[in-house]
This record gives sequence, structure tokens and C-alpha cells, in this order.
Amino acid sequence: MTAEAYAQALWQTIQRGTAPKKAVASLHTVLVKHGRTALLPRIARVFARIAEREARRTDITLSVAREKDARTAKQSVKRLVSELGVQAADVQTAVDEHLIGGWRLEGRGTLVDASYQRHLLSLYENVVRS
Amino acid sequence: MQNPIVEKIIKEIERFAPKAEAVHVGRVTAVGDGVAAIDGLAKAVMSEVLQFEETAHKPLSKAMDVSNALYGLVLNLEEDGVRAIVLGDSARVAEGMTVKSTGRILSVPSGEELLGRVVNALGEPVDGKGPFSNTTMMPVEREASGVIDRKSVSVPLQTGIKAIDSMIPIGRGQRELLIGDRSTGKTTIAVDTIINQRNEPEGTRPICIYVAIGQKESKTARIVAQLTEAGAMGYTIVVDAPASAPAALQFLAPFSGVAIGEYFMDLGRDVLIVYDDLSKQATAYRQLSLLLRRPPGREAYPGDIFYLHSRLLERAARLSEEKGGGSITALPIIETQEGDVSAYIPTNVISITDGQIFLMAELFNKGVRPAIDVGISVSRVGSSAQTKAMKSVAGGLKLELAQFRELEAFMQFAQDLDKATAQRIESGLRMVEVLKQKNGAPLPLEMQVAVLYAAGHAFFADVAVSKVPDVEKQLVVFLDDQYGKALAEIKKKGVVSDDMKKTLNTALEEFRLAHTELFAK
Repeated sequence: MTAEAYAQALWQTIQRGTAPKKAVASLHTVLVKHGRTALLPRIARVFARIAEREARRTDITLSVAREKDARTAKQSVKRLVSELGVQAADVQTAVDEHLIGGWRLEGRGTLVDASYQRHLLSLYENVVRS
Repeated sequence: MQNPIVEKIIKEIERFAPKAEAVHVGRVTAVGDGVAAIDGLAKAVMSEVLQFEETAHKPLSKAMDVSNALYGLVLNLEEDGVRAIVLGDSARVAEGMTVKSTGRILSVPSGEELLGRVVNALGEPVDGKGPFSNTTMMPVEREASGVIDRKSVSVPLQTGIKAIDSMIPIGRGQRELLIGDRSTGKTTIAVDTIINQRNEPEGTRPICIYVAIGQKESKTARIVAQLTEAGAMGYTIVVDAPASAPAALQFLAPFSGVAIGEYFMDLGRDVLIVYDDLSKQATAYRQLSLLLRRPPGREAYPGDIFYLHSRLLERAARLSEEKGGGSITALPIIETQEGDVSAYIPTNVISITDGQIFLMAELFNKGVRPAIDVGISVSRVGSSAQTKAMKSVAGGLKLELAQFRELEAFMQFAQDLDKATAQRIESGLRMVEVLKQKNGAPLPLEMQVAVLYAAGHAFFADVAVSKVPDVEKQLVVFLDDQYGKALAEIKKKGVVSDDMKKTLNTALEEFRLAHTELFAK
């Protein structure tokens, strides 16, 4: 818990505009003062997890079945992406052949699934249910 | 002519309109022991249903194999995410899995179709009799009816058990706790009460719901078989959350049961619901709360354990005529350890309910069954629901028995007893025998009244104590055969009129003359 608290504090300090180098140096001074330098490796691991989580929170990924579909898909999600307040250039593209076709946009706590896999699964569920 | 399946598929394809809606999602960061920590889902609300997306990054053929969607229930809202209980096999949840918000509160299906069926805590059939087609979804968490919507308890709920209907009567809309150690007959009383409802006219017969929490599957199967054999499954629904089910489902089962019951109550019907048992639900909730990192309190139960039971039992009510006049009668069961009723959960539930029937292991082992301790059993509202007929024959019964229990202890030491005391003990011994009842044999009201009338008029005074149950059994058969129609008036009118007293006296005399051999001590 202590390592998490230190990592969280470090993350927030950097987010508020302090230079990372300066923030880490300050943290080191505090740890030395309190005799807790042994916590440093754990703090680093937790910090990496926080950074990864926060990055995932802001990342937006557009998945397509084939690389050549990316251009068409980007056109289709243009409006959606602007609604989410993201620059089109910040959208990362990934290839997931399981999608079969269409696209899947995920990020910023939102998911829009327009993949053929999703449509086929809905169709299958409707047929099975009826 | 095409294959009907192919036709169906073509039809589905023709009317298929692909949709791509934006949904709020989070991501599983940790999972274990039925609890998932989910990052994101900032807009999630308490008790919201979440869906774990198991089909992502899987080939279509494998995605199609995912038979049932896996759901979760939000129980903790935290700064960076939520914690949810997994409503199913948590081994299916993986770290990094996407979790979709559904925007709906957990609901279970309810309706006439559920009668005679066994369902799990999510309302899904588990008896292999196929899915439901026409049901109404009822919210699992719902606010209990308010004061204005309620009416006081005035209609009796006959359990068919002489000792209860005469001394601890239960009314429709009441909450009566069945409490006692293990193997003292708590479930038997509850099941007999369900079976006895077959004696009620169809129009006023309560719908019965038996909620099995943390029970062995074999016990539940036995109860279902017993109910089926007794012809009681037709008006009964069994909600099963066995000991092998995740703690989340054991915690939810009573709420699902009452939600199913509320459907019928809202239609103006009477419902009887048995929670067997709430101690196990409390244990399941404690497990979940500790896994959710909620601070533990007394006996490691979370601080809101009282609220868990009070909000459940408050949903039992008798509604006003404006609200349809329906009711839910609750029979919660609590298992005590070594007869300790002052433990945390028993005292909580005792204070919430409108009375308790305390079953003693000592009485049970002595052969007094049902092993009800009349001294500490009480029904706080039931007496206003008791029929006049029963009141007239059972008026002083509780006091008489309580006095007998005192004298019984005294009797073990005293050698010479005065005549009045000896007579009281003799009468008490016979009354205890009269009140004994085998399981699975509930008696209709008129028969109970007749037997208690006989006991109250010294009918068994000349019968050897050991023979009283046998004589009583024969008397019931005789009355049913010869005076069945006449006695039905007791139930119809609810009183023992002077004419009825004459009929009863004649019947008892007739029986005595026909069985003189039974009346020689």
C-alpha cells in the first residue's frame, strides 16, 4: 500500500507539471529521509502500471481485419472520433483478423463494434434464440 | 420446399439490420474468488449489470461456442474503477478482458410459467424443462412498500401444524423466523407449510417460493421430490443457489426469490416465501465483502449486514386494497450454533421479524416433533389473523404448556405431588403428545380444531400417554370419513358454533364407543 501511495503521489506531481527528473529526485530525498529507499523498485513497478493504465485510458485503437481496410475504416469513424475529442492522427490502428471485416473502435471508456464478427454473432444468437 | 431451419435463417438474414452502438467499457485488471476489479466504467451505477466480453480476439467458431453471456454485478464504486461480483464461473474472466456496461439493474424473470420450476439465482431454469417464453422481468433490488401502501395482517396463513396454528399463528404478510440448531426440523416446518397450502381453495391459495441458499443439491432435490409427490409443485417455485454455487449467487438468491414473488403480489395474489437459510446468505455476503475489501465488523461481517436482511424482509408485506391486496409472507430460517440465539445474525433477524419459532435440539431428541419451544416462540401479529374457531379451542394452550414445562422439571425431583398438580402434569403430557406431528402430514384447519377441541375436553384423559398419537391418528381418519362435510363448516364460517360443538361431541362419543379398547389406561 505504501509503495502504491508513493507511486500515485509521483504520478500526480508529474501530471501537475513538475519535470519528471525533479519529481523523482524529490521522491528519492523523501525516501532517504524516512529510511524507505528499499521501496524504490516497488514504487517503480507500480508507477509503470499507473502509467500504462492512464495511457490505455487516453488511447484510442481502431481495429480492422486487414491492413488494407484501415483507410475506409478511418473514414467511417471520423465523426465518432471527433465526438470523443480525439485528433484523427492520434487514433492507433491494429489488425485483428478475427474481426473478419468492418471495424472496432475502442478507447476512452467507449467501444463501438461494427465488425462482421459482431454482426454474425448477433445473427447467430437471433437464429438460435428463435 | 426448403428446410424450415434454412427458411428461418434466410428470414433472419433478410430482417437483419446491423447496428454499431457506442457502449461504455472498462477493462478487467484483476480477478479472483468471484470478484473482478475493473478499470474505467466511470458512468457505472451501483447494482448495474456488466457483461464480460468473451468473444473478442477469438475466431468466430470459438466465439460461437460461448453459450451464455457472462455477467457481473457492480457492488463497489471506486476512484479509478469498479469492483463487481461475477455472476457465474469466474474462471471465464481474464485479465485485460473488456467489460461492457449494460445500463440496467439486475432483474429476474417472473410469471405463471415459473410455477413448478426450479430456477437459479438469476432466474434461469435449472431443471432441464426448457427455457421460459413468456415472463416479466422484475428488479432484484426494489424498495419495500411504504406505510400508506400497506394493510395490517388479518388473514391467517395455515401451516397445517397444530402447534403453530394454535399457539404461534402466522398471518399473510407476516415475517416469522424459524430458528434452531442444525437438524431440529426447521426445513420440515417450512416444507409442510408449503404442502399444506394445497388445502386452500385455488383462488386464495398462496404461491409458494422456496429459496435454497447454500444447501446440498441432494437436499434440494429431495425437497423438490417431496413437493412433487405431495402435489405442491404446481403452485411452487424453487430458487436454488446450492453450496457449490459462487458466493455471489448465494447472496443474490433471496433477493431473486422475493423479486419473483413481488410479481404475484403486484397482481393481488398471496405469496409465501421460505429463505432456507439466511445464515448461509450472511456467510456468503461476508465472503464477498471481505473480497471487496470492505471493513469487517463484528464476527467479520460487514457493517451493512443488518441492512442486507432488513431490506430483504421488509419486502414482505400485505398491500392495501388500492394496491391490489396481495401479500408476501416470509419464513426466513436461521441456523444457530449450540442453541445460541444471542449471536450476531440471529439477534439481527429476530429484531427484524414479527416473531420467531424456536426449535430445540433437546425436545427434538426427546421425540417431541415439531420441537417447538413454546416458551420463547412468539408471533407478534399473527393472533389478529387467527380464526375464531382456532382461538376458541387453543385459547389457554400456550399457558398450559408453559406451566407444564415448569412442572415437568419439578416432577423429576418431587415424590409426592398434590392431586391438582399431578392432574396438570397428566394433562400436559397428553397435550404434548397431541401436538406431536409427523413430517409431511399437515392437517387442515377443521381437523386441527376438532383434535384440539377433543384434547381440551379431556377426550384423551383415559388414553395411555404412549397411545395418544395413535388414537389421535385414528380419530382424524374417523372424523374425515364420517364427519368430513360437517366439519368443513368450521373452515367456511371460521367459528365453532353451538351446533358444531354438538356435532363434535356426538362424533367424539361415537368414536369412543367404537374403540373402547383404546380408552382403557
